[in-house]
Amino acid sequence: MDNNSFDQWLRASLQDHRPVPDAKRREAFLEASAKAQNSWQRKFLRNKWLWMVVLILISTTLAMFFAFQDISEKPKETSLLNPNQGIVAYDSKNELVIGDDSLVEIRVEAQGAISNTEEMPSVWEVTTETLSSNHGFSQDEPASSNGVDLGVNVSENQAIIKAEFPVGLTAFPDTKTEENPILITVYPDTLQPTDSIQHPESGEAIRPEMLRKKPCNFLFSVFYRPEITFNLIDNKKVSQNFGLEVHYRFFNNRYSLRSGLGVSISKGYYEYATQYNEYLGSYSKLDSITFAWDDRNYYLLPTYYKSNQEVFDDTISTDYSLLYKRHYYLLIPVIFGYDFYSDNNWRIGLRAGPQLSILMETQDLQQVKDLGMNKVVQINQITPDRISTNWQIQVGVNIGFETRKRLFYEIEPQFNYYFNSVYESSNPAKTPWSVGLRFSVGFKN
Amino acid sequence: MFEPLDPSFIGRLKKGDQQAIAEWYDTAAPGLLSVCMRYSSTTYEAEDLLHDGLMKVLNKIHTFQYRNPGGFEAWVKRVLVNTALNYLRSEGKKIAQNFDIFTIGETMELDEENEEFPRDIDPDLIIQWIRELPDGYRTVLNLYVFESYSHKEISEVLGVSESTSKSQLFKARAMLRKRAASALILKGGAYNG
Repeated sequence: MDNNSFDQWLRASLQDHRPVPDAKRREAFLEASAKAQNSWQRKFLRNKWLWMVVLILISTTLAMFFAFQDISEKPKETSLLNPNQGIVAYDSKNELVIGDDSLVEIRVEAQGAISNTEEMPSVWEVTTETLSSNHGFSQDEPASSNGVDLGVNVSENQAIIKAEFPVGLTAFPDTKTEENPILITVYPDTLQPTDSIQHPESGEAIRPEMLRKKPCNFLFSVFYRPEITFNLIDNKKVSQNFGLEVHYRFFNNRYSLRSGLGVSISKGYYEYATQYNEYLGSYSKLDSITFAWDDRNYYLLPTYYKSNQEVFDDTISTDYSLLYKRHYYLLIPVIFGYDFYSDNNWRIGLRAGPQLSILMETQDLQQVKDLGMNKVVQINQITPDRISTNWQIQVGVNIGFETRKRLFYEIEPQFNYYFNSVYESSNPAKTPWSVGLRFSVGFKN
Repeated sequence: MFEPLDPSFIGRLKKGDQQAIAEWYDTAAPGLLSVCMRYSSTTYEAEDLLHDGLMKVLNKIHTFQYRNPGGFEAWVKRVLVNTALNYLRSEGKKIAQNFDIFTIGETMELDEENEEFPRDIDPDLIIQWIRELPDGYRTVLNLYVFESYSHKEISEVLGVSESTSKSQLFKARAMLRKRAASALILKGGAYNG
């Protein structure tokens, strides 16, 4: 571009050209931008929640797959059902050869030939017959007492029977023939022994862990963690965290890996500086006067045309205001653990690992202060916005209590150190840290 | 021409803060409408361009990275200019052609050193003169004089040769000079660039 004087004149002439768009066009634009914004938000939200749902589904499916893999395996103890004489089911595992006062839950499933519930044995008889040999129950000893009609519990082709050991199980089918026997499978699902457990033959005490199934390596839990974060612009803030987690235990159950998805909700204030011209008042400006001659009175009748004019101070004043916003973060922790003490019920160990926080949404909890009649020149946000992703290292001491049932409880004092500022303008001096207390309830197989 | 916006304010625009969008519109729209008016034949058309351009800005604002003061304003203006150019193309207007048809009279002999232009002239009048230029002249003049494009860039944008661009600019200036000279005679005051 050369320095042509004509071009300079053109530019200078149009430098202050500021035609004001039509008010209707302004409204149309603001309306269109609001609609577009809603559609962007909807799109973003839809994607955000869609991905969250997909992640949760995938993690749940994987966890369920691994957790219940052993249960879906075929049991080894099966017997053929002879329709004419019934059958006594037995289990050869030591866990089932237990003393008198033990409660056991057995799942009985008929397979193969059964195609509808009518073909299912209608009566399952539970006995307290004496155990014989090393296999628990014998066909030689009749199962006679404690007959329990489980017809109502038979769904499709299986029934759950709870009985005290020793137990004999007899089914009396009435519809099948010898040529088409029904296969009966006995699943020793859960054993809940009482305190006095002895081997029926040797009389030796059976340790409880012998009676348990091998625990599954995968555990699930829900957690809640109140947390106080320090070194923020607004000093310290309390945030609420909760979510779902999957634990994987390995190497003798002493080591663990914990991950999952959580949501963190926190509030923060933002400072705004609003520059404005102060409203000083208004006056009626005389736009024009017209006169009409009154012939009768020889008098000029004036008509005044006025308009209201508002007056503002030329000086720009600044008003500072605070506005609260709520932040929603998605938490993805990957925490490694080592238990230095564990017994049947208690575990104490260390937990440490990184955690990723992703800012999902920021909600305005207030509107910027209304300055009334004053003319707003500009509104500037002084407090920088929150950064979208943030990495933290998390360290904690985990105390866990496991019940004999499937539940476990954990409490974990934690310390979090943020690798970077939570604000967009990075300031190393403002690297936050936090302390929190994690409570969790979980279940295991 | 445009007041540089604060990065935090741009952040609010990125988040779709309606209050910020309204403020931004009130601040920026007049200056940008002036740009659109130079490219369009009517004010209504210019307001259409402004609307479309600003919506494009809001749709693409998440791609904008703040680097220096004034960068956002320059980016917005570029989006508006591109919107105007696309509009002219879509309307089937021959931006860079047929200027010869519109050659009016003889080219003036220019005495640039002693050239005088009217002072305090109504900007709307200049806009009117620019609008009355043939599309090709007008576009080249706008890009070269106001948007600081080089002839090479104009040739790439419009798909014409550099010499065509130069020729169109020369003739556009000549036509506007005639108008300015007439206005100078009528008004009396002069501007010395």
